[in-house]
Amino acid sequence: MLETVKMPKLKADMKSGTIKKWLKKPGESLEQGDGLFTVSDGKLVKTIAAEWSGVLESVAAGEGDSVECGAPVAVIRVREEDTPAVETLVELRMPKVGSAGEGTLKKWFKRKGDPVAAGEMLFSMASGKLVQNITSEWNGVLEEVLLPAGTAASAGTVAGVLRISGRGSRKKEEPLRVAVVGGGPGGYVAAIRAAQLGGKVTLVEKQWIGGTCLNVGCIPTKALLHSAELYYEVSHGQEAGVCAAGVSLDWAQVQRNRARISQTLSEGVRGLLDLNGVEVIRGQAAFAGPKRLRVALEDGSEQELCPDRVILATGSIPAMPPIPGVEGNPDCIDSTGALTLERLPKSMVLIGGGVIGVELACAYARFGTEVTVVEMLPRLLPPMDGELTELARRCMETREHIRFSLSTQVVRVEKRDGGSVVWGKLPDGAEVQFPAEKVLVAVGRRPSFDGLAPELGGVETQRGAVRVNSRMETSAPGVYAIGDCNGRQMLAHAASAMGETAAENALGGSARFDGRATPSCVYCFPEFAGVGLTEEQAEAAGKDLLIGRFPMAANGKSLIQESTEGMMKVIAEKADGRILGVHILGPRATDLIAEAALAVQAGMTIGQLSAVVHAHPTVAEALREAALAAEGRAIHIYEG
Amino acid sequence: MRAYCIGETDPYWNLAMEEAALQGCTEGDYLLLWRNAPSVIVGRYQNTAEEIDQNYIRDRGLPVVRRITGGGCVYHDLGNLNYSYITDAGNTEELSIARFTRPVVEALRALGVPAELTGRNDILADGKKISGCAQVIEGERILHHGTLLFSASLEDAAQALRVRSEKYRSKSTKSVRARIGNISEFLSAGKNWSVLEFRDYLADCLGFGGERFFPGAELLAEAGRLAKEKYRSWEWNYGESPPFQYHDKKGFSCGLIELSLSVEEGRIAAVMFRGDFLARRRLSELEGRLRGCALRREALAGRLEGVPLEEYFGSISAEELTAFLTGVETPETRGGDLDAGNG
Repeated sequence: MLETVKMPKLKADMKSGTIKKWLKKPGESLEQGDGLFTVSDGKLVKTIAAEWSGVLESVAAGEGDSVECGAPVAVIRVREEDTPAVETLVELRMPKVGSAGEGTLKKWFKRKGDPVAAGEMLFSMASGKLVQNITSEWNGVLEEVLLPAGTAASAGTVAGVLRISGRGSRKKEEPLRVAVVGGGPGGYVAAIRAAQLGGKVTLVEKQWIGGTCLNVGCIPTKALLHSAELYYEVSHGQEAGVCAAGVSLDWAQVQRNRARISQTLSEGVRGLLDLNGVEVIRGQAAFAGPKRLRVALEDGSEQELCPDRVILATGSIPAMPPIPGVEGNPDCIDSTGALTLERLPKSMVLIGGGVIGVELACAYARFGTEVTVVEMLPRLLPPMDGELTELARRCMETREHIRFSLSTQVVRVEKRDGGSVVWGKLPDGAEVQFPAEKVLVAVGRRPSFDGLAPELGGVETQRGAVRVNSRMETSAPGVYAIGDCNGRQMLAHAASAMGETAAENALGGSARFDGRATPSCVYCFPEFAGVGLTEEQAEAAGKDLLIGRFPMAANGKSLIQESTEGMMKVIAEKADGRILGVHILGPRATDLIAEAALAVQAGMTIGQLSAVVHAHPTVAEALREAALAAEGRAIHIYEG
Repeated sequence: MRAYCIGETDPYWNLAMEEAALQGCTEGDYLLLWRNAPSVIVGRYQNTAEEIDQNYIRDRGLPVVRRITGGGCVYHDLGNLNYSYITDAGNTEELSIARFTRPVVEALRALGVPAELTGRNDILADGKKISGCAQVIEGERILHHGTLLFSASLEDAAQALRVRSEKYRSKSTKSVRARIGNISEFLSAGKNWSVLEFRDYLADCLGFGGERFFPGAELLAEAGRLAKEKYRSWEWNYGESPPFQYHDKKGFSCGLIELSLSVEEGRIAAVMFRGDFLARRRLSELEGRLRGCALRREALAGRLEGVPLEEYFGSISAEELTAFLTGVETPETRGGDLDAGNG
């Protein structure tokens, strides 16, 4: 989108201004707030800041040129996600004072079109013997004066309209009141960061502190995976000379351990919130108006919050596809149900080959359940690198004995005695059936804001997610949305990063969420992690690539750990060697990806990465070797 | 509650101190008790010229000072005690003026004064108004202040304030005239208090026996600055009046002149002269020349300097025209019947 920059009118009597200096050149990229040019009107010299982030497309006037106020001087190609929030008009209302329902607007301190800074007086009203001076909470421009001076009007009447310029910041000594809705990894992090920045923070959580992640998501899944891994390792130690007889699985204890870990972490978060002075309210929040929340408390009563800032972090819920026979079938469970099974099923079919499905498939397979994954697409884990995904699938098939049925559309689920049958259709039309004791439906998650009534808060949604820009601002001024509910990157660590971004912006800072180097992790066996572009994405972007591969079989530590099936893969731009993406399939890939994320975020080249001495023997050595391989100079493989 | 009994009686300084305290004392509760030397104090959104008898005020040399709170015009002298509360406004939707006036009523009753609160939040005794009040809310803080007529000159008060004039048209706040009385009339037998004894009683009573408060150097400096730059300025006291129209007609030796004035921010936005005088030059020239001029003697005198008034009106002096425009006579212009020509 192109936006025109116009010669500003800096004073009421200013007719034109002279461009003294361009601070940016066409083609140069710029951030909102960066100085664009300096303008002079006689004695006054002022630097004009860019209102948008993007690239300076062209300039219409040279240095020394005089330009009429309002005439275009430059065009900015706006970075799409930074398009300013649509709804930036704020209604200025007559205040209600005491029992008097009416007052007279006595004076406007600003005229239509005047710039207004936060903390400046807008208008003054009188009611009986009382005078109240109304100051602006926002930076912006007085767009419209609806009640002229001398007009009597009832409390709540819109006296004027303020167009706020992007982010408003309130110049007030007293702490800003921040309400965070949702206490998951996005919400609690936002709450703590907002409190660190001096906000008076209230966190509203309807169910669990720690949210899905800590209670029915990442953490309990990994707790189960840990038990599964231990069980497997202990039972498969013969190769390394460890022979354990009579190894058994105490499922009830597996479940208690999972619950204890969630509880410990949740209590830890609760403690951090308390230490940071965050007030926690248990209840369901709903918008009652712009920046007004009504919270239905657990005891049935209601509490109203009128914060200065709202951060929405309402998360997501498992998506349930309309497959006939799923609803009401006690054998069909979602990911939450799969974490809390009372006893270990003998067999399980997983509908959906995404991250959740694959991880739970691995856990149950190692516990000894016979597992089948049915996926509609011809591949698993759609956002991950295709080559390594295929490798991962083969590992899981041969080593974990998981059955995969790809390109299979589930048409119905049929309840039978002692289990259900999942009916699928192959691309050639043939029907296949997969009987199992339990059917886990894990086709993904969708943003959730049930009961929140975002529309009453002026918060726009799009395709079922809250619309935000890179500052996490929604269409409603002062309202932010982070984590799964904005559908951007539905990952706990992305939610936390967004939470920090939103908190910074809510308290007057200027932060943006940069998701380019957000790693994705799959806790399958072996672990699988990636950051940046996949080979497919990089190719689709039309880049000339250098690709370095290094098999874990050639890595000493992987051999020791009996996990040699995986691979390290580094994707770099041919022109300058800049690392675009790194993908790891191998032991502890989810920990190793941090180094790769650092390289991608910092825009490092393969030369810079391979210049770092890596410790031996480690799996991390394989990353350096992959970087070397991209230039055909890996030491521990021979490529002739 | 911290109480401060101001010794100063200069109205410019006292009102400046009150505003400085509102801006500067951002935490806690404050009570100021103060008296002004004879002066007229105008409400924030009143048209000063419309409210006062300018000639009486000029003759007596009375300061006319605009305050930052709402309400109407009042006459102050040393027999009138003022109290100012500065505190958190709280939830303004539930703001109640009685929160401030009730303690005053109780303090008065304790002295035997049959004080009662009216719907207008005035305090009456025996049907006579003995106390009025006004407020301003700035951000989270409120200033509530009020007068307490203790031993004021009721006669002077009546004279300084003008009876409603038909010459003015504006949306300004109008003063409401009330029958007034002094608190000293109602004190129980044996209490022959001076106004200062009454003040000290209130300092204890309304201040809840809290500590005394003395402003620091910073606050005093700010009060001094405000007094000088704001409260002593014509721009604040007169210029801040809401827009108004003024109509008058008067017989001069050159004939009858009818005047229509439109004033905004204290300056002439438009002026029109009509009448049975003989104009030899186009009046629009003069009307154009006066546009934008502050409606005050000094500014008008400058504008009219060297202007051949006799060519516009016939025989009329610049002093006469200035007095006609401002509605304030000077000893030179004040010959014969003051009300001549009044519609």
